[in-house]
Amino acid sequence: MQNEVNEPSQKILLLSIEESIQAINANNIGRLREIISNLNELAFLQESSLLVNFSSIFYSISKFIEKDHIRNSPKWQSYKQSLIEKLNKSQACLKSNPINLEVLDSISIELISDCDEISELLGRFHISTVEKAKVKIAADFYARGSSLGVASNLTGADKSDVLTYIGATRIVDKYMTISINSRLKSAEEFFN
Amino acid sequence: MDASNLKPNSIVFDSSALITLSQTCLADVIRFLSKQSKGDLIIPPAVRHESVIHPLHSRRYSLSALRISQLIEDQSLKVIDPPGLKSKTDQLLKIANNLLLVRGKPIQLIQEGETQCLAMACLSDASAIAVDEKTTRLLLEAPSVLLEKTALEFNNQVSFNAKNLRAWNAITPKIPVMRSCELISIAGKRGYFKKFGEYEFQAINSSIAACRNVGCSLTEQELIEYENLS
Repeated sequence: MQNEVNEPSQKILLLSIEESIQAINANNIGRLREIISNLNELAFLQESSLLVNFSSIFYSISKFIEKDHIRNSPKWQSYKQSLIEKLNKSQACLKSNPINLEVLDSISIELISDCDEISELLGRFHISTVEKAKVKIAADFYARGSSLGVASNLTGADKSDVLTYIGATRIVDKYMTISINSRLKSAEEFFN
Repeated sequence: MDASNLKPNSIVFDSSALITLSQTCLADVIRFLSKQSKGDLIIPPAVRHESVIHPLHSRRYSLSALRISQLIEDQSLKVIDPPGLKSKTDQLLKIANNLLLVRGKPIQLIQEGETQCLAMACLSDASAIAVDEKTTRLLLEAPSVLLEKTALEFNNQVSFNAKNLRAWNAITPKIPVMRSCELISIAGKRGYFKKFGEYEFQAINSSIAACRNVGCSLTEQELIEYENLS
């Protein structure tokens, strides 16, 4: 798992942060989800924990915006302000030459911690939105061809959580290989 | 346990198959099948780590881990660490994770636990592998299907390394892959679900559906095929 950012990833992350700030200010969940999808693809190809972190942050924020009880909470505005300030700092960090990866990484960890706090204080979620985001990102990696182990390893999501999430999707429906009869015949031969 | 003491007809288990069976309260199917099998049911150290040691620290999954741990305790599952496991695992990882390239960059398809299972199957002359996650299964059964479908995910901006694909086909064992659903079906045919009396077949099908719900890579069409068997 890497947290380096090569030049194309740097540009895409920078643009993603910029667009996500606009989307957050406009409460545009659809746009945030598009940004997340693009970032997930890049995170998978680059095996980047930093990109996974930012994708999890954007997913969490999209969930907060989606919930009326969070958006209408008096505490939300100050949380939102703080999140945007930290996203602005991440942008500044990405624009610096050379990029200070340590600082960028620590801002992403702070943002994750903030999202966990909002999720805990204002949310009604059984698991934190960041944890849920990591499971969804892992399922996305699995759908793009990685194994369960790779998906879980790259995102830090629990294998059992990812399996359960996948079980509720139709991700595997396109992978038909051997008929059930052939499988059972060979399995029966094995046990006979 | 030494790999040289293994009985023929052994099955290597990946953590995905263990987790789905344990999560659905069907870990006992493994115990039942270990008594029915002529061979051993075995796991490499990385699978023990993924399915027992790591989840033991999680409030949500420690019960599942304890169920698998009991299977190891009572020798229904045996942890094997054959000589050469690390070098074989590294060799397989290097080939598998350089099979597919997206826009010229190789993508990581499998990781250590899954690859240790394949390496162990090579080193121990195992006769089958039990795995519920789709990528490892497809890499053994039909790598071309995995490559084709992955290409679609990336708008066909995918190429594959033909040399590595040949090396992969030459090095990996040609053994059947079983999923938890096949294991349940076999256990069912051998009377495991008799305790459900007149609902025996319903119990088998419900167990298969339950495994699918927690991630066994069974398609909707295959689930229907299973339902039509009984």
